[in-house]
Amino acid sequence: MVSSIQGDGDIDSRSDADIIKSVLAGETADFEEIIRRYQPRIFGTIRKYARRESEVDDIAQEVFIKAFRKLHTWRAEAPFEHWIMRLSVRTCYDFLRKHQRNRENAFTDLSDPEKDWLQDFVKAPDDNHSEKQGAGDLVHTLMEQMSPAGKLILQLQEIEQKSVKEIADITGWSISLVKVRAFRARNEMRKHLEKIDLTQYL
Amino acid sequence: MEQKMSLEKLQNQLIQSARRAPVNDRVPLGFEKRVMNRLYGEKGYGNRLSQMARGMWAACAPAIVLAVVAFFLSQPANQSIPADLALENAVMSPLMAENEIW
Repeated sequence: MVSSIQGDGDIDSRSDADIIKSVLAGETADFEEIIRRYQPRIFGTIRKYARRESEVDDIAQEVFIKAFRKLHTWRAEAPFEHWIMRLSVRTCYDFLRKHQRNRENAFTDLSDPEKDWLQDFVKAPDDNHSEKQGAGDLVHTLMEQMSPAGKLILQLQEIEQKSVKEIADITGWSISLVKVRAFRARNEMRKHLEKIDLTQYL
Repeated sequence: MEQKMSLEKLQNQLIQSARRAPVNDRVPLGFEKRVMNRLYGEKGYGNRLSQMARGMWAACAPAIVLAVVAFFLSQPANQSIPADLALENAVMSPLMAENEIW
Protein backbone atom coordinates (compact mmCIF):
# COMPACT_ATOMS: atom_id res chain seq x y z
CA MET A 1 0.00 0.00 0.00
CA VAL A 2 1.22 3.49 -0.81
CA SER A 3 -0.06 6.57 0.90
CA SER A 4 0.29 10.11 -0.33
CA ILE A 5 -0.21 13.67 0.80
CA GLN A 6 -3.31 15.21 -0.67
CA GLY A 7 -3.57 18.75 -1.96
CA ASP A 8 -4.83 20.06 1.37
CA GLY A 9 -1.94 18.41 3.26
CA ASP A 10 -3.87 15.43 4.67
CA ILE A 11 -2.37 11.99 4.26
CA ASP A 12 -4.72 9.43 2.77
CA SER A 13 -3.76 6.24 4.58
CA ARG A 14 -6.46 4.05 3.04
CA SER A 15 -5.32 0.94 1.19
CA ASP A 16 -5.55 0.79 -2.62
CA ALA A 17 -8.30 -1.81 -2.27
CA ASP A 18 -10.39 0.50 -0.04
CA ILE A 19 -10.00 3.43 -2.42
CA ILE A 20 -10.91 1.29 -5.43
CA LYS A 21 -13.97 -0.04 -3.63
CA SER A 22 -15.02 3.54 -2.98
CA VAL A 23 -14.44 4.57 -6.62
CA LEU A 24 -16.47 1.60 -7.83
CA ALA A 25 -19.25 2.59 -5.45
CA GLY A 26 -19.52 5.91 -7.25
CA GLU A 27 -16.97 8.13 -5.46
CA THR A 28 -15.16 9.10 -8.66
CA ALA A 29 -13.16 11.82 -6.86
CA ASP A 30 -11.26 9.14 -4.92
CA PHE A 31 -9.59 8.03 -8.14
CA GLU A 32 -7.42 11.15 -7.88
CA GLU A 33 -5.64 9.50 -4.94
CA ILE A 34 -4.84 6.49 -7.14
CA ILE A 35 -3.39 8.80 -9.79
CA ARG A 36 -1.35 10.66 -7.17
CA ARG A 37 0.08 7.42 -5.80
CA TYR A 38 1.10 5.85 -9.08
CA GLN A 39 1.86 8.72 -11.43
CA PRO A 40 5.65 8.85 -10.76
CA ARG A 41 6.05 5.13 -11.54
CA ILE A 42 3.82 5.36 -14.58
CA PHE A 43 5.73 8.35 -15.96
CA GLY A 44 9.04 6.57 -15.29
CA THR A 45 7.86 3.50 -17.19
CA ILE A 46 6.44 5.42 -20.12
CA ARG A 47 9.65 7.42 -20.58
CA LYS A 48 11.47 4.14 -21.27
CA TYR A 49 9.31 3.59 -24.36
CA ALA A 50 8.12 6.96 -25.63
CA ARG A 51 10.19 8.78 -28.20
CA ARG A 52 9.37 12.32 -27.19
CA GLU A 53 8.37 14.05 -23.96
CA SER A 54 5.19 15.31 -25.63
CA GLU A 55 4.08 11.69 -26.10
CA VAL A 56 4.66 10.84 -22.43
CA ASP A 57 1.81 12.98 -21.10
CA ASP A 58 -0.66 11.61 -23.67
CA ILE A 59 0.24 7.99 -22.90
CA ALA A 60 0.06 8.59 -19.14
CA GLN A 61 -3.42 10.09 -19.49
CA GLU A 62 -4.45 7.10 -21.59
CA VAL A 63 -3.15 4.71 -18.91
CA PHE A 64 -5.19 6.33 -16.13
CA ILE A 65 -8.33 6.67 -18.24
CA LYS A 66 -8.07 2.98 -19.15
CA ALA A 67 -7.39 2.11 -15.51
CA PHE A 68 -10.55 3.97 -14.45
CA ARG A 69 -12.68 2.24 -17.08
CA LYS A 70 -11.29 -1.22 -16.30
CA LEU A 71 -11.12 -0.81 -12.54
CA HIS A 72 -13.87 -3.37 -12.04
CA THR A 73 -11.66 -6.03 -13.66
CA TRP A 74 -8.96 -5.73 -10.97
CA ARG A 75 -8.96 -8.78 -8.74
CA ALA A 76 -7.63 -7.95 -5.30
CA GLU A 77 -5.60 -11.20 -5.24
CA ALA A 78 -2.58 -9.44 -6.77
CA PRO A 79 -1.31 -5.98 -5.79
CA PHE A 80 -2.94 -3.11 -7.66
CA GLU A 81 0.54 -1.85 -8.49
CA HIS A 82 1.23 -4.91 -10.65
CA TRP A 83 -2.10 -4.48 -12.42
CA ILE A 84 -1.55 -0.82 -13.29
CA MET A 85 2.10 -1.32 -14.30
CA ARG A 86 1.02 -4.11 -16.65
CA LEU A 87 -1.61 -1.81 -18.09
CA SER A 88 0.96 0.95 -18.61
CA VAL A 89 3.44 -1.32 -20.44
CA ARG A 90 0.67 -2.66 -22.69
CA THR A 91 -0.54 0.88 -23.41
CA CYS A 92 3.01 1.88 -24.36
CA TYR A 93 3.26 -1.11 -26.68
CA ASP A 94 -0.07 -0.26 -28.35
CA PHE A 95 1.13 3.34 -28.75
CA LEU A 96 4.41 2.22 -30.35
CA ARG A 97 2.56 -0.03 -32.77
CA LYS A 98 0.10 2.71 -33.72
CA HIS A 99 2.85 5.27 -34.26
CA GLN A 100 5.40 3.19 -36.11
CA ARG A 101 7.47 5.28 -38.45
CA ASN A 102 10.48 5.01 -40.66
CA ARG A 103 13.38 3.90 -38.51
CA GLU A 104 16.11 4.08 -41.16
CA ASN A 105 19.39 6.00 -41.11
CA ALA A 106 19.53 6.77 -37.40
CA PHE A 107 23.21 5.71 -37.13
CA THR A 108 24.30 7.90 -40.04
CA ASP A 109 23.70 11.08 -38.09
CA LEU A 110 25.28 10.55 -34.70
CA SER A 111 25.78 13.40 -32.23
CA ASP A 112 29.26 14.48 -31.10
CA PRO A 113 29.01 12.76 -27.69
CA GLU A 114 27.97 9.54 -29.45
CA LYS A 115 30.91 9.76 -31.87
CA ASP A 116 33.32 10.55 -29.01
CA TRP A 117 32.03 7.59 -27.06
CA LEU A 118 32.48 5.26 -30.04
CA GLN A 119 36.02 6.56 -30.52
CA ASP A 120 36.85 5.82 -26.87
CA PHE A 121 35.25 2.39 -27.16
CA VAL A 122 37.14 1.44 -30.32
CA LYS A 123 40.46 2.51 -28.78
CA ALA A 124 39.89 0.33 -25.70
CA PRO A 125 36.94 -2.04 -26.14
CA ASP A 126 37.79 -3.94 -22.95
CA ASP A 127 37.59 -0.87 -20.73
CA ASN A 128 34.31 0.06 -19.12
CA HIS A 129 32.81 3.02 -20.94
CA SER A 130 29.23 2.45 -19.97
CA GLU A 131 29.14 5.36 -17.50
CA LYS A 132 30.48 7.94 -19.94
CA GLN A 133 28.29 10.49 -21.66
CA GLY A 134 27.31 9.33 -25.14
CA ALA A 135 26.52 5.75 -24.17
CA GLY A 136 23.03 6.75 -23.04
CA ASP A 137 22.46 8.67 -26.27
CA LEU A 138 23.59 5.66 -28.32
CA VAL A 139 21.22 3.38 -26.41
CA HIS A 140 18.42 5.82 -27.17
CA THR A 141 19.36 5.85 -30.89
CA LEU A 142 19.46 2.05 -30.91
CA MET A 143 16.09 1.77 -29.19
CA GLU A 144 14.58 4.19 -31.69
CA GLN A 145 15.43 1.78 -34.50
CA MET A 146 13.95 -1.29 -32.89
CA SER A 147 10.52 -2.64 -33.83
CA PRO A 148 7.82 -2.15 -31.13
CA ALA A 149 8.03 -5.80 -29.99
CA GLY A 150 11.85 -5.73 -30.14
CA LYS A 151 12.00 -2.56 -28.09
CA LEU A 152 9.61 -3.94 -25.49
CA ILE A 153 11.53 -7.20 -25.12
CA LEU A 154 14.91 -5.47 -25.09
CA GLN A 155 13.74 -3.14 -22.33
CA LEU A 156 12.14 -5.84 -20.20
CA GLN A 157 14.63 -8.67 -20.68
CA GLU A 158 18.02 -7.08 -21.29
CA ILE A 159 17.71 -3.81 -19.38
CA GLU A 160 15.25 -4.59 -16.58
CA GLN A 161 16.46 -8.21 -16.47
CA LYS A 162 13.01 -9.71 -16.09
CA SER A 163 12.44 -13.43 -16.56
CA VAL A 164 10.55 -14.90 -19.52
CA LYS A 165 7.65 -15.72 -17.20
CA GLU A 166 7.50 -12.17 -15.86
CA ILE A 167 7.56 -10.78 -19.40
CA ALA A 168 4.77 -13.14 -20.41
CA ASP A 169 2.74 -11.92 -17.44
CA ILE A 170 3.35 -8.25 -18.24
CA THR A 171 2.75 -8.45 -21.98
CA GLY A 172 0.03 -11.09 -22.05
CA TRP A 173 2.08 -13.10 -24.57
CA SER A 174 2.64 -16.84 -24.19
CA ILE A 175 6.00 -18.07 -22.85
CA SER A 176 6.94 -19.49 -26.26
CA LEU A 177 6.02 -16.22 -28.00
CA VAL A 178 8.20 -14.28 -25.54
CA LYS A 179 11.11 -16.63 -26.30
CA VAL A 180 10.67 -16.25 -30.05
CA ARG A 181 10.40 -12.48 -29.82
CA ALA A 182 13.42 -12.28 -27.49
CA PHE A 183 15.48 -14.27 -29.99
CA ARG A 184 14.34 -11.98 -32.82
CA ALA A 185 14.98 -8.86 -30.73
CA ARG A 186 18.59 -9.88 -30.05
CA ASN A 187 19.13 -10.50 -33.77
CA GLU A 188 17.49 -7.20 -34.61
CA MET A 189 19.70 -5.35 -32.14
CA ARG A 190 22.79 -7.03 -33.57
CA LYS A 191 21.81 -6.07 -37.12
CA HIS A 192 21.36 -2.44 -36.11
CA LEU A 193 24.72 -2.37 -34.34
CA GLU A 194 26.37 -3.85 -37.43
CA LYS A 195 25.35 -0.71 -39.30
CA ILE A 196 27.81 1.28 -37.20
CA ASP A 197 31.08 1.27 -39.08
CA LEU A 198 33.46 0.94 -36.14
CA THR A 199 36.54 1.18 -38.39
CA GLN A 200 35.89 4.87 -39.06
CA TYR A 201 36.46 5.55 -35.36
CA LEU A 202 39.92 3.99 -35.29
CA MET B 1 35.86 -12.55 -35.92
CA GLU B 2 37.38 -9.45 -34.28
CA GLN B 3 34.49 -7.35 -35.58
CA LYS B 4 32.04 -9.86 -34.07
CA MET B 5 33.82 -9.65 -30.71
CA SER B 6 33.73 -5.85 -30.82
CA LEU B 7 30.00 -5.87 -31.55
CA GLU B 8 29.45 -8.20 -28.63
CA LYS B 9 31.40 -5.86 -26.35
CA LEU B 10 29.65 -2.81 -27.77
CA GLN B 11 26.27 -4.42 -27.15
CA ASN B 12 27.21 -5.33 -23.57
CA GLN B 13 28.49 -1.85 -22.77
CA LEU B 14 25.36 -0.20 -24.15
CA ILE B 15 23.12 -2.51 -22.14
CA GLN B 16 25.19 -1.83 -19.00
CA SER B 17 24.76 1.88 -19.64
CA ALA B 18 21.00 1.52 -20.08
CA ARG B 19 20.75 -0.43 -16.80
CA ARG B 20 22.58 2.34 -14.96
CA ALA B 21 20.44 5.14 -16.41
CA PRO B 22 18.35 6.74 -13.66
CA VAL B 23 14.58 6.59 -14.09
CA ASN B 24 13.04 9.96 -14.86
CA ASP B 25 9.76 9.85 -12.94
CA ARG B 26 9.05 13.58 -12.96
CA VAL B 27 5.32 14.31 -13.20
CA PRO B 28 4.00 17.50 -14.83
CA LEU B 29 2.30 19.86 -12.40
CA GLY B 30 -1.44 19.29 -12.03
CA PHE B 31 -1.42 16.08 -14.06
CA GLU B 32 -3.90 14.34 -11.74
CA LYS B 33 -6.31 17.30 -12.03
CA ARG B 34 -6.20 17.10 -15.83
CA VAL B 35 -7.00 13.39 -15.81
CA MET B 36 -9.84 13.94 -13.33
CA ASN B 37 -11.25 16.75 -15.49
CA ARG B 38 -11.20 14.40 -18.46
CA LEU B 39 -12.97 11.73 -16.44
CA TYR B 40 -15.59 14.17 -15.14
CA GLY B 41 -16.05 15.47 -18.69
CA GLU B 42 -16.73 12.00 -20.04
CA LYS B 43 -18.92 11.05 -17.08
CA GLY B 44 -20.86 14.30 -17.17
CA TYR B 45 -21.40 13.98 -20.89
CA GLY B 46 -22.72 10.45 -20.45
CA ASN B 47 -25.01 11.56 -17.63
CA ARG B 48 -26.38 14.48 -19.63
CA LEU B 49 -27.17 12.21 -22.57
CA SER B 50 -28.96 9.66 -20.41
CA GLN B 51 -30.87 12.45 -18.59
CA MET B 52 -31.92 13.91 -21.93
CA ALA B 53 -33.06 10.50 -23.19
CA ARG B 54 -35.02 9.86 -19.99
CA GLY B 55 -36.66 13.32 -20.23
CA MET B 56 -37.63 12.81 -23.86
CA TRP B 57 -39.11 9.42 -23.10
CA ALA B 58 -41.05 10.83 -20.15
CA ALA B 59 -42.50 13.51 -22.42
CA CYS B 60 -43.33 11.12 -25.29
CA ALA B 61 -44.83 8.19 -23.40
CA PRO B 62 -48.13 9.87 -22.32
CA ALA B 63 -48.59 11.33 -25.81
CA ILE B 64 -48.20 7.88 -27.40
CA VAL B 65 -50.65 6.35 -24.92
CA LEU B 66 -53.19 9.13 -25.63
CA ALA B 67 -52.78 8.68 -29.41
CA VAL B 68 -53.39 4.92 -29.19
CA VAL B 69 -56.44 5.39 -26.92
CA ALA B 70 -57.82 8.11 -29.20
CA PHE B 71 -57.33 5.89 -32.24
CA PHE B 72 -59.26 2.97 -30.78
CA LEU B 73 -62.06 5.21 -29.48
CA SER B 74 -62.50 6.88 -32.88
CA GLN B 75 -62.89 3.55 -34.73
CA PRO B 76 -66.46 2.47 -35.74
CA ALA B 77 -67.61 -0.93 -34.48
CA ASN B 78 -67.70 -2.54 -37.96
CA GLN B 79 -64.69 -1.39 -39.87
CA SER B 80 -63.99 -2.45 -43.42
CA ILE B 81 -60.17 -2.43 -43.12
CA PRO B 82 -58.25 -4.59 -40.65
CA ALA B 83 -57.24 -2.91 -37.37
CA ASP B 84 -53.47 -3.39 -37.88
CA LEU B 85 -53.61 -1.71 -41.29
CA ALA B 86 -55.68 1.13 -39.88
CA LEU B 87 -53.18 1.61 -37.05
CA GLU B 88 -50.29 1.65 -39.54
CA ASN B 89 -52.08 4.25 -41.65
CA ALA B 90 -52.75 6.40 -38.60
CA VAL B 91 -49.14 6.24 -37.43
CA MET B 92 -47.65 6.74 -40.89
CA SER B 93 -49.97 9.48 -42.12
CA PRO B 94 -48.09 12.38 -40.43
CA LEU B 95 -44.82 11.08 -41.92
CA MET B 96 -46.38 10.80 -45.36
CA ALA B 97 -47.68 14.32 -45.05
CA GLU B 98 -44.20 15.46 -44.01
CA ASN B 99 -42.66 13.76 -47.05
CA GLU B 100 -45.07 15.54 -49.30
CA ILE B 101 -44.10 18.90 -47.81
CA TRP B 102 -40.43 18.23 -48.43
